[in-house]
Amino acid sequence: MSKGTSHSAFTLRGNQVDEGIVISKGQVPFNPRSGMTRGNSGLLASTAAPDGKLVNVQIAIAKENLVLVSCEDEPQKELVLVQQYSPGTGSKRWPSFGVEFDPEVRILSQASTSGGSGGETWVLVSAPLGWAANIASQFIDERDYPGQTISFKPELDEPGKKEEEQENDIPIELVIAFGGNEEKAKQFMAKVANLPANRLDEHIITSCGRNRVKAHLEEISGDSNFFLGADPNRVVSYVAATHLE
Amino acid sequence: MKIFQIGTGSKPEEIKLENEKGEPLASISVGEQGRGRDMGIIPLVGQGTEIRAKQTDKGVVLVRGNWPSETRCLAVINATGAYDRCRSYKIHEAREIQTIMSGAIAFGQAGRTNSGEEVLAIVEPEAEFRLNSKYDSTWYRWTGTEWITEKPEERDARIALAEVANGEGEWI
Repeated sequence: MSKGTSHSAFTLRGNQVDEGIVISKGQVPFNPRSGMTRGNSGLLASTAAPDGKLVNVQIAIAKENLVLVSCEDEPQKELVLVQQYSPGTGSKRWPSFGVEFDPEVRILSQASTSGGSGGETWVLVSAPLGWAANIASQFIDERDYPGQTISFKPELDEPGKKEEEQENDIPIELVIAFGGNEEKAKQFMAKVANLPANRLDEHIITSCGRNRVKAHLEEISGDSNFFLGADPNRVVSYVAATHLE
Repeated sequence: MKIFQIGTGSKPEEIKLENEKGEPLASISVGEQGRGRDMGIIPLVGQGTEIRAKQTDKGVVLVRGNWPSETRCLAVINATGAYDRCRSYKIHEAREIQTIMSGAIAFGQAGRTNSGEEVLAIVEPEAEFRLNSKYDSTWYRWTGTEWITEKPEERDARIALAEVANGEGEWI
């Protein structure tokens, strides 16, 4: 039987990509952080390799189950353990992480939780080189930011494109403060630009708490909806950076 | 042959053929008596460390004696266990098992709530079957000398590894 394509192995969880896939007792273990694993969650993959991490592998399918074989060949694709999750009640303000798999990605196996608070579905996929980093770079893991389902964006891999996008981009802290709503972030930036800078109180902007900052900026702007729903503490640093530095 | 007791979610244990007083058991029973239930009784006669099953016109008898040990065994398999409304109370995907007596275990006084089987079976080497407990399944496999229990994922992993080691399967 001729050998298959060599894959470099990665574990992807949110915005984290770790090299290698953990092996325990001859399997890729399913150890979710939320949800329950009662019942039969599904076999991700088996291997004859000892406990540790697999970094370069070839993949065989036997009776619909995956077998990973360690190898030394130059990798041509990526084997990615995608740990999709939805946080439990105790972490409800943190975003969920999901991935939309395009046709270039081959889904090989998966395991899921059943019941409990939150849940996780882990999927092993064969993907083009650079896929895992592309997905991870798009996920924003900030409290109160909405859950995201990420798709592969080839334009992120174009040299120079990322720097060009960053120059035109809205500051990331504003995107996060407005829950990903770039339109609102731009409206806020326009409002900040129109503030009468000579009436800004530097002490209030840099040292006071949420209520005083809110009252001061709404007063000098004459706009009771100055913050457009954002938390004043999250956006006041932008006001300071625009007018006081 | 040795005789084992197997229940959902538990490790197989060899059945002691004496009671607490050290007296030899007179019979093995499967199932329960009562409404919606069914009990089977298999007499146990003779003396010795090994058991063989004998088919008569009136039913099966277990005969104790110093028979040569063999790779088969006897097993009392309780597929029912604790009550769960949605579970299936039977022996699943059995291979190389011959049932020689069966009974039924039920829940509730009327026996109308779910019921399941308890059987006495002769088990050949490499026989296997699956039992469900409240939340998951367990595979049981008799190697000829011992019982091996595996979760479905462990069994799938073992079979897949053996296939690839034999040169079968398909490379990606």
